[in-house]
Amino acid sequence: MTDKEITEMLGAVGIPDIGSLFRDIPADVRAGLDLPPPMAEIDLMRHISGLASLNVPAGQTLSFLGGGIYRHHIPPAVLDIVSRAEFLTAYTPYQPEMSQGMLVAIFEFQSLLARLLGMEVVNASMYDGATALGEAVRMAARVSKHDAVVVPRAMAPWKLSVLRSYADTAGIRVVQAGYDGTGALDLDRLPSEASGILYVESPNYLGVVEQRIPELREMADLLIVGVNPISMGVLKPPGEHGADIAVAEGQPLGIPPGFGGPLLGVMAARKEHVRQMPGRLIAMTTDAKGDRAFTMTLQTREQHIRRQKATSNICTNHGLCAVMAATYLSIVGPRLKDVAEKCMENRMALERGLASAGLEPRFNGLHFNEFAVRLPVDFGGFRDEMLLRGILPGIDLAGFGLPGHMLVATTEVHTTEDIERYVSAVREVVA
Amino acid sequence: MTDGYRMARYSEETVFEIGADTTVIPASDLVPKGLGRELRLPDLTEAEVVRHFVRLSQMNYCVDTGFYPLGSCTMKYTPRALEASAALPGFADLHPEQPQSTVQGALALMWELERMLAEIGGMRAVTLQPAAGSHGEYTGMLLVRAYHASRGDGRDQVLVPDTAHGTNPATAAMAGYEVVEVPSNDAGRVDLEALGSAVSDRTAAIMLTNPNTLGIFEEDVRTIAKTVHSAGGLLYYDGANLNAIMGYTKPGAMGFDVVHFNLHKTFATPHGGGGPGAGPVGVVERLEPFLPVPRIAREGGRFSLDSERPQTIGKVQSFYGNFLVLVRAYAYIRMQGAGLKGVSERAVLNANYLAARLSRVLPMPFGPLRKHEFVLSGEPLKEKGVRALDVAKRLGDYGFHAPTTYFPLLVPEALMIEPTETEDKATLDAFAEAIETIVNEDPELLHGAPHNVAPRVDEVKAAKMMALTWDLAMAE
Repeated sequence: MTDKEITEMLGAVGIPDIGSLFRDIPADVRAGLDLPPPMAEIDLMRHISGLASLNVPAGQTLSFLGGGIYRHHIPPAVLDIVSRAEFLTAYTPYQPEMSQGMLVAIFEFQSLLARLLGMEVVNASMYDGATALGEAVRMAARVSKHDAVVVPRAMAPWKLSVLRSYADTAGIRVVQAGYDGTGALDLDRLPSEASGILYVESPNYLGVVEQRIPELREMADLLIVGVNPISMGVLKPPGEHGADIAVAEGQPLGIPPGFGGPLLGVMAARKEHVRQMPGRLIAMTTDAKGDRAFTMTLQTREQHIRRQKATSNICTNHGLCAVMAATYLSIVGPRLKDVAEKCMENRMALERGLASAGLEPRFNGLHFNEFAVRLPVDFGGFRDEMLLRGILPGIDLAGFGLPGHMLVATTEVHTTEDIERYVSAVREVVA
Repeated sequence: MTDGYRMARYSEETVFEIGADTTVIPASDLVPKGLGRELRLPDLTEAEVVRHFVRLSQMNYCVDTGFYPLGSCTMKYTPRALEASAALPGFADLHPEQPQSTVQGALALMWELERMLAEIGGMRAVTLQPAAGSHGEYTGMLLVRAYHASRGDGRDQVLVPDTAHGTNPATAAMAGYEVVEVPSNDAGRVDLEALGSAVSDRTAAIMLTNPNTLGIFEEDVRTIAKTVHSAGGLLYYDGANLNAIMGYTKPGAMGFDVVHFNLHKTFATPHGGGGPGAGPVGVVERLEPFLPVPRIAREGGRFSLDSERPQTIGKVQSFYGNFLVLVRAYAYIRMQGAGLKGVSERAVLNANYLAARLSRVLPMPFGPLRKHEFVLSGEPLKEKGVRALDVAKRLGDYGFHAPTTYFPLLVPEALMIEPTETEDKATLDAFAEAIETIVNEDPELLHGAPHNVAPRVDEVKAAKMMALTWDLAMAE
């Protein structure tokens, strides 16, 4: 803006200078800003690139880290589509006439995820899988009136912590249920509260697929099932297990790990419970000319209409991440089965290889793409030695309560040579 | 004038029509009987997918194509350096469980960002974990709870002014509090007398945004703070309107104890069609022990993650927050630096200029001086049968996005306008002229609006049909 324009604008407002626009801020609350001077773009990019270069991106190493966040192949088209300004710099589609494109994309996200999970209804996204679970448990309590939820002990510690942040304020007790020798939920020692709200995760944090969900379905009044969306390429979906609510961390569907955010919270439910669901929902309808059109719907559940009686306070969600997942699933399509099978095959090859190098699997249940191994040496020293060989070997399970164990994940990005390299490095380091 | 920019309108099919539904069954040697599935998804080529989503993108209004005057949403332009920063593999391709020695740059960036936000907010410490504004609010309320609980103080009410964003009462209720609404006075500010009678030893906190949603600065904020503090309550600052005051005041100086920042508003990270944003939370010293873990610690030149905080509320997001959004905000703040004061000045000048022009067209209740946004009332148009909604929809024909409508609830037929600092005078003039023209147009023309973009969408039918997925729509 030119000085002349600023003068004209001040004149139109009827004040002498910009400072006068702030005369309503009393002297006793005035405070300046102590920040560094502005940086030119060229200096900024140099500075930011310098910070980025202090990190070691997983792609520059051979990474076997998982634990809920995975490196899958992301088709370049996905990143291209979500970089488009019209998606990137739009607001929430409150004005449907000006946002049909975003509305269709989110509707497709809801529809594709509903297919994947075998569920009737999927909302327009939550922040991440952990907050989706927190909201799911609150929703389950509204629907069923139970005041406790049973969750697996074999759950990521950080996810449990987020869940408690959501459950405690609603007066919902979180009760843990242990795992058996296979790494799956121990059905013989389930707490009595499991007849109310039960959350089961498959594959669970230890990578183990739950094989007895039908029995759990019989037992629980309200069943919540959490999955890895890539595993849905081959494994029976929550809807076919009779789940009332399904949740997932959607990051594996075309979203970079991004040091843990932004992620994608996926939340699905039965249609009969949709009015208790949090978050935005997109629906197909028609326009004034009778043509197909899309809009946000059932907004009377939401905070901007219902205020303190809303199902949740969520407003901004992760719409662009939902578009990434929709684009990913559109490109991969039925080939998601191949991606999932490759993950399982790689896991089997890695399991065999590591066992031959002395890292035995801890559990003998059915695993998807991840498993726990016994580590005959101290984790810290092992990790550092592996890092010197350019390998991120896995996650220490000491914090989870399994000292001397490590969680190892693989996906379709690993080649046979990658797995061999990992195994021979382990031989060197452990020997 | 109605031949200005508009998004495309195509009868674009969905991916379920473009690709043939294809069913596949997993290999039986991998998945035991009874655990497998039939997977049915549409099969498209990459070319079909790209063409489809590029067309969808074109069917969308955005900041990069036009003026988005949504009040309270701060739809400012995102400098592309922010996007380039977040796309660097050294940030995007980091796994959250990597050894700390391999993420020193990421931790350094977050540590610095925490301190810059603390300076802007006048706070002692900041957590970057909350993923959005209302998520920050929720985190803030958890901190308020933890603080009072640590003192054995079982307060159960949160005060919220009637001009507040819907997220404030929703958040307080979600955190288990009873919401007590505080009315506004004739000047559009918190009614001090009503506040005095609402405050008690049950008051855990008051949630305020300043300037408030009418764009008016709460001049009595010190008195409000004193009233609430002396009753033992805390002050929560909703950072949605922070864009108006940087360099002139800060929440800490006004007496607030907890603040959330909307990085996707004030700090220019893109809205992404509804997120992801980020909602870091700042606190004063007495609330610091309760912040979410892990905290970022610095010793010498090394950064680490510290979870040994006995009084922490725990975690609110899986890892460290929406990191790639944090990278963008960090880049923005470094780019602006102390120049953030100029950002607020231009935002407030733009709002007051547009308000001066438009308050000659429609009434602007509650006094002349505004901060970064203002609210007009479409009430006089009702006698010719025109609603605020009609004006909002008609603006699309002139190439502008609608303002926020019917909020705040205090103003009948509200049109809430926030121009931000990134619009130039010519755009503001063109927008003012469009409103001037629209209020004199034939009511029939307005009822049918928009005409040049997609026709008005039937939202009532949407709620009745509940076609929430392609399969549900086809089952109708």
